[in-house]
Amino acid sequence: MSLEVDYFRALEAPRLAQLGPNIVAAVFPLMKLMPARFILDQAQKSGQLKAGSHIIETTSGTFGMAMALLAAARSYRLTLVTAETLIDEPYKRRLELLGANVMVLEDEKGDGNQPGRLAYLKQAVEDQPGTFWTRQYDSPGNWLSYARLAELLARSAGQIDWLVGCIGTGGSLCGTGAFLRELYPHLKVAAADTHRSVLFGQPVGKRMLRGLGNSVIPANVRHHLIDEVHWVGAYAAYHSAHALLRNHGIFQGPTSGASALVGAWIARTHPDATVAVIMPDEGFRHADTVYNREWLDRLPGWPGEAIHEPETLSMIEPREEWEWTRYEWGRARLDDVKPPPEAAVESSNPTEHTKH
Amino acid sequence: MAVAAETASDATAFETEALLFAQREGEVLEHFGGSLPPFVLVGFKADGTGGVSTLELPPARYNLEEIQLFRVLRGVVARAVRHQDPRLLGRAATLSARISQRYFPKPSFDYVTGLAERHRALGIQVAHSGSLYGLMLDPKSTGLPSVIRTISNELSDAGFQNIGVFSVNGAGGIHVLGS
Repeated sequence: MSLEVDYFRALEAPRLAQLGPNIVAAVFPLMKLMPARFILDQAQKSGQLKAGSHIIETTSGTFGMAMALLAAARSYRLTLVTAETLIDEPYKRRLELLGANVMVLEDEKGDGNQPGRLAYLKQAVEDQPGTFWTRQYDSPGNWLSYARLAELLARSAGQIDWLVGCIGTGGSLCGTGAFLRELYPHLKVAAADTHRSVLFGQPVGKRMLRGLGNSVIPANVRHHLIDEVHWVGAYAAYHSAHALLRNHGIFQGPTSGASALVGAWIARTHPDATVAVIMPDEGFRHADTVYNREWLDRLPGWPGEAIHEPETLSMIEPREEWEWTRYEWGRARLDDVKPPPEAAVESSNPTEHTKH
Repeated sequence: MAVAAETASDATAFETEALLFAQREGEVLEHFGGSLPPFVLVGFKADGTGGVSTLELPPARYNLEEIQLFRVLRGVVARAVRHQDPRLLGRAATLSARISQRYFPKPSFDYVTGLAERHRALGIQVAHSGSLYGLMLDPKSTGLPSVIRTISNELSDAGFQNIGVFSVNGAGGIHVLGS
């Protein structure tokens, strides 16, 4: 019997939603399945992964969930390194039910403690030879896997003029953008980031909107592919996520709200362009928070007013959670725009070395 | 996938129904569900040597990025067929030819791509395991006969051989327009 069925291939595929006359969204239930499956497939082919191998990764959630689903189905052992501010108990229980060993590190600064998580992970790889680190931050497999998304968009949307998506590891936006730009050299790429993420030159700090942005800079973030950066505050993203549900029946997480907000503005301001928006994951994990009026009402300053237009910055700086800012990045390298955050901190405050 | 994708620009061109065919495995990977969009092909030989035996040629070891780009091109060809869009097909063919050039370099590649750009061709098409070139032209473009004459003369002056003009379309396959 030969059934032509591949459940994970189907589960990783997005639905396409037309949000307006010139804007289409790739709506993923769990986007990280795409790089997770690709990276595991490659490692299996190259012999790096063998039956029963141990896999490790640092992740704040969805890549971990994708890896946990695949590791369970393929009988690999899995360790996920996360931080106390990033993981909620139901999600942790679900990961553990899938057989993952979830290591939760302290996070005093509230920035996700990525340096601490990476240090732990490197030690674990050293202590347990044969452990396979999936390296979603700098494995080329991460961005290469998104050829499948580029293919889907090329098949169904044809010419695309703007690609908009969240940026965290850089895999989905830079991967899809790189492939689409081969086809459409004029393609513009807009990144949805959030205040106090270091990816595009902001100082590190506590980020309320999780699932995008970063406190370190992964190699898969390729700055020279990005035309403009948007820093979307948590409240602005929440409003946008609610609007997606009300106006389109799309129940996605707040990062999808952030990319939809940016995409809709670009589509409005470029009515002759076709805009494609990447929406990374569904909203169920946020049912008790972002989609819970009681939780929202306890937020200082909520609801404020939903914003429909970003403020264009001439100097990159963090703002409040209800604000939305934008900077014309112009395919620059990070060094061209601003000295690396570490150097900036050292020169302005020579006593502060704790973040290293 | 690489073997499969490499045929996307050439093996499909002469079928009534466009399909993606893995020539080494003899397996159909995708029926594109229609014929290729119509285009005019100016075909010629890169040099004076004879044909190439596909099976004697070692397969190209495409890197992962190229293999992934081929998969995107497969989507582009599918759309070009569905929407009968020769420009999109030309773009896929050119990208595919550029990758092929890294493994089976054909002489005068830069000259041919330059010629294609100068005359606003839809794209260039190569036999990934042979020595044939093709310039794809839009059959609806104005002044097509004189463009074809100019291209043929330039090619002939540059020393290319076996120059032929074909009309490729779904209804009747392929017609020789002149040589």
